[in-house]
Amino acid sequence: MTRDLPAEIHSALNDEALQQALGTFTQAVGFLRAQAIGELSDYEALRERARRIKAETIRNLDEHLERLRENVEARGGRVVFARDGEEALRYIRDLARAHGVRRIVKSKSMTAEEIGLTEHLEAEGLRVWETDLGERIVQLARERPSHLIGPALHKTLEEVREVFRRWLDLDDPPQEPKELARLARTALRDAFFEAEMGITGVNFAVAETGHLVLVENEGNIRLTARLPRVHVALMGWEKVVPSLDDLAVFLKLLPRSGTGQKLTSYVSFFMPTPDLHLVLLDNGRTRLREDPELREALYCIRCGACLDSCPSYQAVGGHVFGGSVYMGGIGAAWTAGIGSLKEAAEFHGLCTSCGRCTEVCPVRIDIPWLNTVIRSRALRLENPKHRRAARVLGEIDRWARWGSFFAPLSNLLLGSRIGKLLAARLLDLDPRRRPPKFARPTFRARARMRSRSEQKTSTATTTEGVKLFVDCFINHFEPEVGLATLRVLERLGVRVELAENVCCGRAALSQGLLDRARSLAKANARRFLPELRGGATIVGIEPSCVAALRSEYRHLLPAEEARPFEERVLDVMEYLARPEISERLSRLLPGGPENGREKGKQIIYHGHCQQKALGVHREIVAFLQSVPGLEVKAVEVACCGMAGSFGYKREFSELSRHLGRRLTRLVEAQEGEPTACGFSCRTQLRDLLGLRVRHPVEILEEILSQGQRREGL
Amino acid sequence: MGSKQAAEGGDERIERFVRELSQVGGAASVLDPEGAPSRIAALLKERKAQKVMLDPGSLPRELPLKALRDRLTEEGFEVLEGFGEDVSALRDAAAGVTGALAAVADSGTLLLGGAPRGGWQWASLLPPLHIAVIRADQIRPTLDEALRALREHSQEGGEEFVWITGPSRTADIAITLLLGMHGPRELHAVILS
Ligand code: SF4
Repeated sequence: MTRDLPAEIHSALNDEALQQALGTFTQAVGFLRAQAIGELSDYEALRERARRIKAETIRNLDEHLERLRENVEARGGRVVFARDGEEALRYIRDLARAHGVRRIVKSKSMTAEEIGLTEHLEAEGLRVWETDLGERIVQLARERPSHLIGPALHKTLEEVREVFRRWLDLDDPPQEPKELARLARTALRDAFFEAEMGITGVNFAVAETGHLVLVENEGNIRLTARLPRVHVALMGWEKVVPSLDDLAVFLKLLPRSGTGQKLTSYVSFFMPTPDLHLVLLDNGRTRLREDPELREALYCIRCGACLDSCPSYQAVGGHVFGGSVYMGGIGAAWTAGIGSLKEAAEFHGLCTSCGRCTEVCPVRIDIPWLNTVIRSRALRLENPKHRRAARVLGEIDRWARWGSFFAPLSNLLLGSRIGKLLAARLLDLDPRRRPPKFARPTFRARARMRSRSEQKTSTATTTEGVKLFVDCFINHFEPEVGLATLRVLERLGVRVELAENVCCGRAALSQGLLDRARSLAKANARRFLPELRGGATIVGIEPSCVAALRSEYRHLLPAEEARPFEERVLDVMEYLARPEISERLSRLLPGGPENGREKGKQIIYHGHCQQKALGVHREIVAFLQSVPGLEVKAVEVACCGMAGSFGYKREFSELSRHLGRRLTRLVEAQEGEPTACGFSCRTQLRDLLGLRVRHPVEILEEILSQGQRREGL
Repeated sequence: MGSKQAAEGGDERIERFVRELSQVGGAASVLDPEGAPSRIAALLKERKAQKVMLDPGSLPRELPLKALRDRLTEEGFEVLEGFGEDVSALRDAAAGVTGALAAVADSGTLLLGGAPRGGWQWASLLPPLHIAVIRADQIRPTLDEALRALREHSQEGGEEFVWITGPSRTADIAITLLLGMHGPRELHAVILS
């Protein structure tokens, strides 16, 4: 069964109740999380530690699992290793039979979802009550959870009432959530007392002591584990942590990241008892562990922060952006890693690689990278159109050369109805999108032409110099941004030399063309490593290219070759924000508003996702705001929705526009000229606003040259 | 806690604990041990409780237990204690009174523990009201210290623990925060100073 993703996206975007629920939930949790994380003075150190603990534990897995087994058994508990879902199901079913169990209470567990535990036991004639309220609602509605933490967040009050009407046989279920919850409490309390078996998941199993640690708010886990005679705890083996000290790290991170609480109402340290059956599930995890590219998915502690912060998830929810069990970008990695690449291939495309998830992930999993890997593997499963599109879009550097060479003819062709039709037919691109226009001459050519005349008169007075990385977008589509950059840098006394680079590999990466990206990275490494090691600085204009060099090369090159790129490549805005440079700029701009100029130039600034992911967004905004004569309002939206080729693909065009409109609504509510650093962001804004949108460096050039004229220089 | 400074630090800590606890929906009273029985009785009366679970094993020694028992019976409450594994008798209890191993000022957390199916477990989980009686000096500043306390207790011989931070809650219906989902709706700390 193949999914019709565009149709699913369409109905999610038009489901008003869903939109409202997603909005309320993700915003509220996002707010609380930021607050709770803000209270941790050692947050970054904790994340680092959490990551290291996970990495170490998974490396020496057998040792920790053995220790756990010893400690559980020493207290009389049983430990069972289940190779797959089948084995786990069989064990639990036989156990129920052997104990004459007929009724089971169960708490929320993604691992149980993974093996279809509830359905299986019900099919065996056992009664199973989900006891987490949200999970119970989902169970009664015969649906799947749509969020790791809030399984029923997609259900409206009306829908919940309907579920209660059928469940408790009520004519007119109460309107008040409080009353509904009270009814559920009473009904489920009976179930707790009647059930002979309780099934829980596990958040952390402490090898050192044998404690099974579970984190919850409702209290149903405590009841499930302790009221019935038999306790089954089902856990994926990745949940083992070596010691109580290690556990402390995760207990500080999980509730804060998950719900924005310092601690949840209950954190239980269950001691194994003789009626405990601890089922350690593999079910593909060993395969994932042996997969070096996806392994870090195993570090996930299922807090859900990545979902709440993901623009695509916020827009369509976990049923659309998800597989049969796991959701979001991390869910794609899990689905591909332990289950089926094919299933992951059906929804991983919703990841726009914006990187917001990694920013909030308490174990800093590089989820966009995992999705790049999946993309590369899934390419062979794609239909021919998409495969072709990947090749065309991923090799932009190759064909853009011809595009520029034949411009304006190439533009006429691509912009024509026939051109768009062909793009739609052959590549499944959105015919409503205007293709970018090739420029002739290219930036490189224009920079060379002007250099002799213009450069001599420039005021380059210092010895410092940078190499300007010439990205494909500026070079072929927007030379004026490149030229503005050159002029601004030179006016500030910086010697600029164009780098003789090849494409950074960003386009190839975003299409999953890993081999090609790798060979481009190698070529750039050959060209620049000696200089970078000698202390040279590379400045880039397009943030996604800067990010490719700075953080993606880590995956493409040996560590010692990637590090110089990580350390010595800067976004041009970041470079300008350096104190010594920005001071120079201020000195050149004496005409700030306080010096008698009526009003500053007003701009609205939209930062690029990758600048946020690299952690340079804030300093860039602060820098722009400090520029005399400039009034800057930053709009805070996660992603413009264009994300490279994402917005061009027919599959995602509706979602892309939806995300874009979240941005334009904010832009239109303000006064000022919209600006953006990213080529895609500018394209998206141009398409939706119907005007050319500039890079902030162009604005700087403008006010610099105005200042120059005024001073009579 | 001899010096004046330490005592002051203690006061601050109590304040912090009370503030944090109230932020997560709990409440607290600070009083001397002699005053505790009547405060507890009053709390129960306000809620028209009839059956009360008592977990004497976990209660601090400073709490005059006999006075508490007498007071509760006088007031007409049915006091349940020493309930072992048979919990069905506890189904309609309106309140549970326990002690705690420690508390954390930083997060308003109570640390309880003992035998997995001990009285502390039920009394802190089944009824709609949970009253936890602690000594002021049991309040530790941070989670790390509470974890240390847990480790000490753990070494004494495999125990079960729970950290309780506020009453039971859910937001699963229409993203509305509700207290008292499966566990207590009210959590009241009685702090003996
Ligand atoms: S990937 Fe990170 S943020 Fe997402 S659920 Fe897992 S731990 Fe949380």
